[in-house]
Amino acid sequence: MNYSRRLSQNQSGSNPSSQWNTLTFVGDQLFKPPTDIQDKQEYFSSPQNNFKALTLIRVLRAWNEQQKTTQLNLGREKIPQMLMLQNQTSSFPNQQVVQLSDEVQEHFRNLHKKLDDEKSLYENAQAIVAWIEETEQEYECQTIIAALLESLPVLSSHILLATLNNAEILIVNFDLLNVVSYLLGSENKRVAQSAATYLLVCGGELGERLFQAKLDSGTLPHSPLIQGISKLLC
Amino acid sequence: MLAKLYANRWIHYHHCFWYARWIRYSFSAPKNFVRLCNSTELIEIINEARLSSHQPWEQELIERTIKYIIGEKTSGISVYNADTRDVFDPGHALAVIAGTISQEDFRVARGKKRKSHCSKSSLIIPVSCLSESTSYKFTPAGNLNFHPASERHFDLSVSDPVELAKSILNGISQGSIAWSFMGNSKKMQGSYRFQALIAYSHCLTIFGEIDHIKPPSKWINGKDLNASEQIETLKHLTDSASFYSSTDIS
Repeated sequence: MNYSRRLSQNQSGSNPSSQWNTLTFVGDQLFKPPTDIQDKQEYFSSPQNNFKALTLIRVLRAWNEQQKTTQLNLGREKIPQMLMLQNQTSSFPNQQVVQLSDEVQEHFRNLHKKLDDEKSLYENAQAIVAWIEETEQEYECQTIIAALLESLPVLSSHILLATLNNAEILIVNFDLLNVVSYLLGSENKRVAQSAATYLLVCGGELGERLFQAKLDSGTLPHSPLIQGISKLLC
Repeated sequence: MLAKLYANRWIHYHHCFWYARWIRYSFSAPKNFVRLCNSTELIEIINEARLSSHQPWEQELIERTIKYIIGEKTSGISVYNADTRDVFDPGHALAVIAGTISQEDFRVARGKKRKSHCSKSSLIIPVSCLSESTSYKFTPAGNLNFHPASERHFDLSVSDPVELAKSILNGISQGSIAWSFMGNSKKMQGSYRFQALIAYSHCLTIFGEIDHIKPPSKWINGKDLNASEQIETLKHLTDSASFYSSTDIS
């Protein structure tokens, strides 16, 4: 089954609730769709989902700028009408933004499984990173990675960060930059260190500033290790 | 008739030359072993080993060292000999190129992009740092695709991987083991291009001028890359085209 991210431009006559019900994101792990308008408001107003809502909005903005379409209504209730991740077989008249092949989706799903086999996780992460390297929609892909990183089991999260760093995928997306800097505060020392390495190697000047700000805040559980990474790389 | 005689004599000397080199590297004791590893995992192991003040080493760190440095093997652990612990040692450069050249992303046709699993960083381990349970064997045939590095290729065998992992962690924390993180980013200590340039320079001293269209006769084809492809890829990694163009302009 293929999913694609779609932007609805012609919503006349369509039922927002039914569209919202089709919203999903590479399996059920990332965005579990509420079933009605009331749920939607609660979903996006809760702090833990706020980031996801912002991510969706940013994708829309980026897409809108790219396509030079007319002004979009980014009101909370309109989000589900505008950003759709739905089955390809749907007759919904949307424009495709990012296409995920069955193979890539399978790699995403595998990362979500709580596996201990690091070799297998690396193979899945490498396939995802290869997909990012080959796509022309780098910004949008990094948005997906940002959302993915936030929801993965810790070992998968570490391995995806390590793979992104090994491939030297430069961070061009503010959401990804935010998530990676957030992961500096992970309780898991491998995640915290791989986030530090990735931020310093591929985060550019802004990444370094975020890194320093997090370190200066004194709230990082593995602060000595994070400082150690900084000394090794800088 | 005379030409045939000279040809046979040349083949004889050629064989003698390589036999002499084989004897030299078989019986001269290696000094340091270069081991290529997953970049990010190596950075983290080094970081933790340097900062850890409590020994014995944590079991989890030992396990990661076995997994990502020793490669979960007890034999056939591929390493290359380097005369010094300096990352600019030709032995280190040859090891880096030999360990990565067969990746198709390094080829000229694929441009400069390198996939994540092609990225490597290195440890330079003095032989004296190896544990007693570790032995080594000169195995030029184990170097598959970059002929100039064959005479530096060894295989390690280990009967007690935990002991070797502890020796490596001790060597890192005490500063006797050197390392290099390679990539294209300025944040990385080394770069593939630097290493390729050193390896290329070393090849010039051994083979003289090297041309991928007409490779030196002594340059042997590899398992996946023939001599011509090896030279072409090495030149591609040095990005030497820019030198030629600047020379042409001046």
